[in-house]
Amino acid sequence: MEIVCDKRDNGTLLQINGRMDAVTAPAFEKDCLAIIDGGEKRVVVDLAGLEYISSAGLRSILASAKKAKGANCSMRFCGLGGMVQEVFQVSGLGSMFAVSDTVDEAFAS
Amino acid sequence: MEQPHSPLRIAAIEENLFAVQEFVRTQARALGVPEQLGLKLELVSEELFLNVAHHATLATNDEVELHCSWQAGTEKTSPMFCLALRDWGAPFNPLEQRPPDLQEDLETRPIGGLGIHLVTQLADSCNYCYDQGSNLFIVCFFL
Repeated sequence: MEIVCDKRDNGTLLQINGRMDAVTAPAFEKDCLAIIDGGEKRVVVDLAGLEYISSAGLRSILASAKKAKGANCSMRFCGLGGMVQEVFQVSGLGSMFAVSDTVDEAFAS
Repeated sequence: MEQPHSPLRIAAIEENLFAVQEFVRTQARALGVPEQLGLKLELVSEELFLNVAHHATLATNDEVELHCSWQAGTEKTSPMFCLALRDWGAPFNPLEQRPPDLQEDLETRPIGGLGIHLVTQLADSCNYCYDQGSNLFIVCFFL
C-alpha cells in the first residue's frame, strides 16, 4: 500500500493506492492520527487507487474517523470503485461517511 | 464435488496470510475461476484465516488446512468454486456471531466485528460444522 499525503490550503488529501489488508492497514491509521494530532480540520481520503480492502482496513478507517470526530476534524472519502465500493456498502460505511465521486467534490462539500 | 486438488496445511499465524492468499489464487486459476472473482476470494481467505489465527484456541494442532474445489452445477444451478478451511481449535461457529448493527452511528459503532459479516455478504453460501474434532467452514461462490 502506498499513501500519498498532499497538504493543501483547505485541508489534507490522502491518496491511498494498492491494498489495505491486515498487514498494511495500521500504516493508514498511523498517518491519519498524525495528521489529526497535528491540528488538521479537514481530511479527504481518495480511494481511487485502492484495489483491495478487508475488514482490517475498515477497522483502521473507523478508528481514524472516530479520532477525527473527537478532534472536530472532518473526514471525507472519494473515488470508491470496484470491490472497495462493494465492501463499503455491505459494511454500512458507505452510508455512515460522507462519500463523494471526486477529490474536488469532497473538498467542496 | 469434482476431483479435489491438494490441500494446504499451514501454521495459523498472521505472517502466513500472503501464502494463504497465493494458494487460493493459484487454485482458483487452475480451476478456471473468472479473474473478476479474485479479490473477493482473497478477502474471504484473509477474513477466515485471520479469524482462526487471531481468535481460535488451538489446543492440539496450530495449523489450518485449506482446500479448494469446483462443484458441478445442475440444470437449475451454476457451478460453484468452494473454499474449505479447517482448524483444530475449540468448537466455534462464526455464523452464530451476532451481525453488526449497520445503522449505528460513528460514535457508538465498534471498530471491529466486520470480518465474518463481509464473508457472509460477499459469498453465495457459507456452511459450518464441527467434524472429526475440527472446525470446518466452507464458503462457495457461483461461477
